[in-house]
Formats: sequence, C-alpha cells, structure tokens
Amino acid sequence: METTLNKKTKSVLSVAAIALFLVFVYLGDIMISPGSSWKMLITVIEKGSIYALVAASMNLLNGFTGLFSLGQAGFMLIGAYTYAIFTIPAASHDAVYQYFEGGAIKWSIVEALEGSLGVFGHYLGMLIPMLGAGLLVAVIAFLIGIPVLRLKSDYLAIATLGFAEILRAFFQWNTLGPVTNGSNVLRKYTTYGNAIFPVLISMLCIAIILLLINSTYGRAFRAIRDDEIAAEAMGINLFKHKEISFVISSFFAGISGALLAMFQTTINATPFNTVMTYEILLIVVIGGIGSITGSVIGAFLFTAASEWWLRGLDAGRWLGISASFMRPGFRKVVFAVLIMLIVLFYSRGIMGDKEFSWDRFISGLKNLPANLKAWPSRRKAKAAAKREARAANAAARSRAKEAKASNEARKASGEALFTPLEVSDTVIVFDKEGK
Amino acid sequence: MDNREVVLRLSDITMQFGGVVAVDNLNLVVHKNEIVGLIGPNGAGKTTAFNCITGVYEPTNGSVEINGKVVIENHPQGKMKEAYKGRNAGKYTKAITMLPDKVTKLGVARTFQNIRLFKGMTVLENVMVAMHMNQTESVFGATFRSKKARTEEAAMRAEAEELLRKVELFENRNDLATSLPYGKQRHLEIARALATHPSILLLDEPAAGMNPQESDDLMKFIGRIRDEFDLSILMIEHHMQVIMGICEHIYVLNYGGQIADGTPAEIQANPAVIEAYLGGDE
Repeated sequence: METTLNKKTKSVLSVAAIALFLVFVYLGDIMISPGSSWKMLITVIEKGSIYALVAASMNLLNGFTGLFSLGQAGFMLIGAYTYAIFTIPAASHDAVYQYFEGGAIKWSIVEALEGSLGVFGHYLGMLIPMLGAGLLVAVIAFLIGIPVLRLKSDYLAIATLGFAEILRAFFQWNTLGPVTNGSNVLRKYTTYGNAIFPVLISMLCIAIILLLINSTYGRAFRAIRDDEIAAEAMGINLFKHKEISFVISSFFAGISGALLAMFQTTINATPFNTVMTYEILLIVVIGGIGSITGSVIGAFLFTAASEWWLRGLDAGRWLGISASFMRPGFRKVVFAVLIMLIVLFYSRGIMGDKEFSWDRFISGLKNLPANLKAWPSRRKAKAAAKREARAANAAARSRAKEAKASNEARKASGEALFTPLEVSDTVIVFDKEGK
Repeated sequence: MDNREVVLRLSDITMQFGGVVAVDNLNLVVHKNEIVGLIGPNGAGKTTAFNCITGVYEPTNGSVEINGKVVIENHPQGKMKEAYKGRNAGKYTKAITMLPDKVTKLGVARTFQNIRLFKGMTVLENVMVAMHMNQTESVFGATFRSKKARTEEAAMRAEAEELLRKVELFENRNDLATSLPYGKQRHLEIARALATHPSILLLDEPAAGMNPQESDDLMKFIGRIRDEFDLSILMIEHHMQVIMGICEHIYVLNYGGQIADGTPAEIQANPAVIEAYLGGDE
C-alpha cells in the first residue's frame, strides 16, 4: 500500500513528535522519583542521546565519506576536558586540584557570566565552553587531518586510533597537571539540571549533520565514498572535502564529549580508550552504516541494553530467572552474543542506508494488522511446504533405493548395466566461416 | 593543414614505470569540434595516455597543453634520470603537475573503461555531483541553506534535469544509478562528464561490451553530443566499426609507441597498423 503525505503534514508530524518527546523527557526527569526503576529510562535517554550524537558524527565520516576513522573517543576526551576545565567553580578548585595547588585556571566561565547575566548567563556560560570544546577539537582534527587523511582505509583507521591514544596519554601527563589534573579525576564542574539539556543539544547537532548530508557538500562526500577516482575526475578536491568532513565530524564529537562530561559529573581520561571507540563503531554498524536514523536507534538500543535491560544478568536475577553463573561480567557475554546475532542476521544494520520517513512508517503501521493476520497462515504455508519437501525427499530416497536394488539384482544375474553407445570412426571437420 | 583551434596537445609524452615504457613519445593533437580516435592492441598504453592527460599519473617526460596553455610538464628526475629509456630527455625543464580535479576544472572530462558511477546515488544525483565544483557557496552556507545555496542548488537541479532530458535518461532520474541497464549506464557516465562543462571529452572504450546495435546507437549519440555541446572528443575504442565510422583522425599505438596517425582511410591502408593488429608475415 502506497501512502504519500504532503510536505506540510510531514513537518507538522515531525515537530509534534519531537515536542512530545521533549515534554516527556522534561516532565519525566522532574516527576519520576529517584528511587523508581523507571528513572533508568531517563538515564538511558540522556546517555543514549549523547551516544547518538557521537555515533552520527562517526557515521558522517565512516558511512557518508567512506573514511574509516577510529579517533572519536580521543576527540570526545578533548571535548570533555575542555568543558570541565573551564566550568569548575572557583571555590572548588582547591579541592579538585588538590595535588596541583589549586590548578592554573582559577575561574569559571559559568560563574563569570552568572554574575552579570543571571540565569541566562548560567546557560550561556555552559554553552560557550561547550562550543569552545567543539571548536578546539575541530582545530586539532584539522591539524591531525593534514598528514592522516592522505592515508586510505585501514591505514587511516590505525593512524587515527594512534592519535586518539596519544591524546589520552597526553591529557594524563603530570606536567600538564595544573590544567588537566594529571591522571586524577576532574569533578565539581557545572552540569545540567534536567535531562532535556543533552537531548536538545544532541537533537540540534544531529539536525545540522542531516542538513549537511543533504547539501551539495554531502553529495560530494557520498561521491567520494562510492568512488574516489571518479569523484576526483568530476572535479571534487578529495583532500579538501575529506578535511571538511573530518573537521565537522570531530567538532560534533567534541560537543558530545562535553555533554558526556556533564552526564557523568566526573571525568577521567582512562575510559576514553579504544573500547569506547569500538562501542561507538558498534552503534554505527548496528544502526546501519550510512543511516543517521540507524545511528540514533542504535545508540538508544545499545545504551538501554547495556545500562538497563541486561543489568540483571550481572546482579544474579534477570526476568525472574536466577542462576549461579549470572555474576558480574555475564552481561557482557550475553551482549556479545546478541551483537553477533544482529551482525549475522541484519548484516547491513537495522536501517541499512535508509533514513526514517513518515511515508514508510505509516504504510508499515497500516500493513501491520494485515501482516499480523497473515502471519499464522504464512506460517502454516511454510510448514506445509516444508512437509511437502520432506515427503518428496523421502519418495526420491525410496525410489533411489529401489533402483539400486534392481540394479544389484541385474548385476547379480549377469546383465550389462549400460548399453554402450555406438562408436563411429568418421570425423567431421567444419569449415571456418568465410575462408 | 588544419587551422582549427587546438584544444589538446600532447608533446613527447613518455610514461615509464620502473623499466617499462608504457607510453613512448606520444604526440597528439585534438582540434576544436574534432573527434579523434586512439587505438591499438591490448596493453598498447592507451589508458595510460589518458591517465597522463587527466593528472592521474605524472608523465615521465613531455608536456600536456590544454586550450593553448601548458598545464602538465615533466622531465626525468632523480633516479629516473639514469633509468630513462625514452627520447627527448633534455627537451623539457619544468615540472608542472596537476591533480585530476584541477584538470577537470580546466575543461577536460573523462569516462572510464570499467564504468565508475556513484553506486549509492540516483541518476540525478550522479549528474549533480559533477556540478558541485562550480558552486561557490561555503560549507556553512550550504548546510544552513543560505539564499545563495538555495538558488545554486535549484540551478544545479534544473541544469541536471535538462541534461538528463538531452541524453534521454530523464525518466530514470530517481532510479539508483546501478539499477540502469548497461547501455544506459554508459550514457549516464557520459552525461555526468558533460555536467562538468568540458571543452574536451575523453572516452575510454565507450562501446566496450556493447552489441552492434548498441554501439551503432552510441556512435550516433557521440556525434550528437559533440554538435550539441560544442565539444572535442578523444576516444579509445576497440570496435573498429565505431572508430572508423565516427573519428576524423586516428592515432595508433603499439607497445607504447605511436605507429601511425591519419584519417580512417589512411589507417586502414597502413601496413604498420595491419601488422600490429593481425601480425606480419613470419
């Protein structure tokens, strides 16, 4: 069944859905009491939206520009640190930088703006370091990109992974302690009050990524992904466009790093390692390489599964089942098996390279009852076909058995099994045409 | 002899890979609105010559002139100085290189021997990609849909649709490029090259894998776009029927070297060409 909605209806639907979601998140965070198990839903939405942003930024590189880059965790690290360093309140500096005499930077942007602009200044004071984090990451990515983007496929992956690891070690360097607090935890910096903050920021950033992908530059990126040689022959400057894609992707990775810092309330360089990059890559692959919708869905599924649905596997009791092997770490085993199943049966990810569309969604909903109703009969038909095949197989087997028995009997009676073909001794030569 | 404007001139182009001279001292001229053929047995160096023109390879020696301006020039340098086996070693002194995208901007468009369309994109998008280089809006303007970006995008779309109408692919504009039948993919590749506003079009075996009917259509198609888009065309082709039917001038390569050039009639009568293709008397 084909359903097409006009453009206006679609935008109204989209705006309504987004507004409804935002109201749900906002009220949910206020109304659900911290002890309730449903609080986990809000936590998953917060963390999921942050991961959705970084996954979308990675998809811009891997899925849309064809650059297999694994530097995302490193860029998130810079984003997280940049945000945290500039928002620690002056009064908390001595406690946070206790090994570095209160640190080198003794002020907070949030406090500075709060003093003169009030509540508005508070949020501005959060947005400025966040934006600064993104810009700093973009500059660093630009510099790293100059040597690294001349490499292709696996080599690019190794080089970016290496840079990410270097960045991690660099931030833990003791000499930089007055700024980065060395290998100690950064904490007490300003965080958001309601879950709507990261959701809103992520949504905005993902919307910008989508706009970019659908612009003429996005088309050029996809051309590079599909065929570098042809793209170059069509006048697309490979290096320039790869650099643009890399810098923009890194900018959003920096923003998501800042959001992650707020979500976690304390940060340390150690968790921003390759495992984190692989988690993000996993989200991209599960969602579908080349689909932003897929990355968003993948991010929420991944966070929900690892933070919420499968938690019970570690605690010893899950869906009413309790077993002795369900102890810390078992969740990861189950998770790995689930991922293997997804990759085996949905090898192109949940969404493939398609994006969400209201048309497909509504026609899917409309066809759902029919599909559900048809399901038992389809199953029956499938079973019948299987039975038939089995019967045919059995019949063929018994026929073969019979033939074999009769052949044995003929052989025993001395009869020849095959009649040899008559052999003729004339050879015919065909003349070559036109000779 | 021919007083038409010269669009493309190769002078003493030599391409040596290690000890192998793939193209040996090729001199070739394409005039305005001329269709020139480049033929030769397999491995004669035809595609390598294309790659030298389009900046994919740096020629070892010689120069490429586009619309009267030298855009690529090289001479044996470094290790190649001693290993060089070609001729005219001292003739060129400059080293001018150019990346393929710059060459395309100068008005040289090409197609490929094995079709290279953008697989994940529709027919219309394939053509619009080729127009990307002419748009002037920055990435920020394009992302946030500035007025300029919107007008440029609309113009691009209109032009691409117009172009697809001309090559009879308009009905297929929203299909995936790879879902087209083979012959139409060839047409699309040519249309995509035309979208870069070339003054010369390089076609690398456009009739490869086509039956006589299809190659006949292609021949007419090439003639038509030459007139309609005011182009010069340099084509590599193995189908003699196509080459002899459409080209005004033919260059013949064998083992990298240029063995003959002339009109189709002259080439057909040339003993060196016959020997290269059919083998001489033992």
